[in-house]
Amino acid sequence: MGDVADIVNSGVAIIHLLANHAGVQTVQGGYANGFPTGYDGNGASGGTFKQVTKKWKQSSEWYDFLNADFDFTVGVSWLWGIHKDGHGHYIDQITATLEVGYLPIDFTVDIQANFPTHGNKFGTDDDVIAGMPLTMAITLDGMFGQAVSFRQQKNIVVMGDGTWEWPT
Amino acid sequence: MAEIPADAPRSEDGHYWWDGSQWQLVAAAQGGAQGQAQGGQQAAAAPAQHMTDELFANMLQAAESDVQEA
Repeated sequence: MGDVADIVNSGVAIIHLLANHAGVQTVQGGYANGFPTGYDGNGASGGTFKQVTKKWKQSSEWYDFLNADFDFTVGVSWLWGIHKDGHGHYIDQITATLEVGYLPIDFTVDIQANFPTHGNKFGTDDDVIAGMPLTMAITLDGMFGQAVSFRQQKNIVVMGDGTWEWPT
Repeated sequence: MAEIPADAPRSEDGHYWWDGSQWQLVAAAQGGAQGQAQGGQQAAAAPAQHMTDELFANMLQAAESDVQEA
């Protein structure tokens, strides 16, 4: 890590992951481009990957009539602290992640992250801190005698200085 | 089955109460109190419950952890 060649601006707008008891399927993958408008990865170097995650785990009977063990983790990872000519805190290679420990049959987890085409610019012109807002929609569908569904949408921000916001 | 504290949080549908660590079925607690007189009727009543979107959401929210840095 740290070479210019490591920094790729594929610039996807949507990342879509789908999981069931058989595993995780990447419906639409890739990385979002976190450089602000007017900036790019040419001449950039450095950076460290970070991942923030949220886990859902149920390992005991929650209802007397239901035993629905599940264990899955949703996350966002990004490369932060990228410098350009010794300045700035840029980000790139932003993506959504989904890991499954266990899901019941007929239980699906659908993750869709929507990204703007470029990151936002914070800090100063001499020391830009890039930030990337994204919307993460987490949809859970289950079949427990009848179809049930739950959807949660969060507005998440990841920053070039390694900080992040993920509202509860 | 423990009695339900008066200030225990209830699910929106009223079927469940929070014991501080997990949701408990109200009918089961009431059945426990009544069980001495009514035998195991509450055990037969529990399966009559049906999963709904609301119960599903409650279950998921109870299983949700805070965001953490990996």
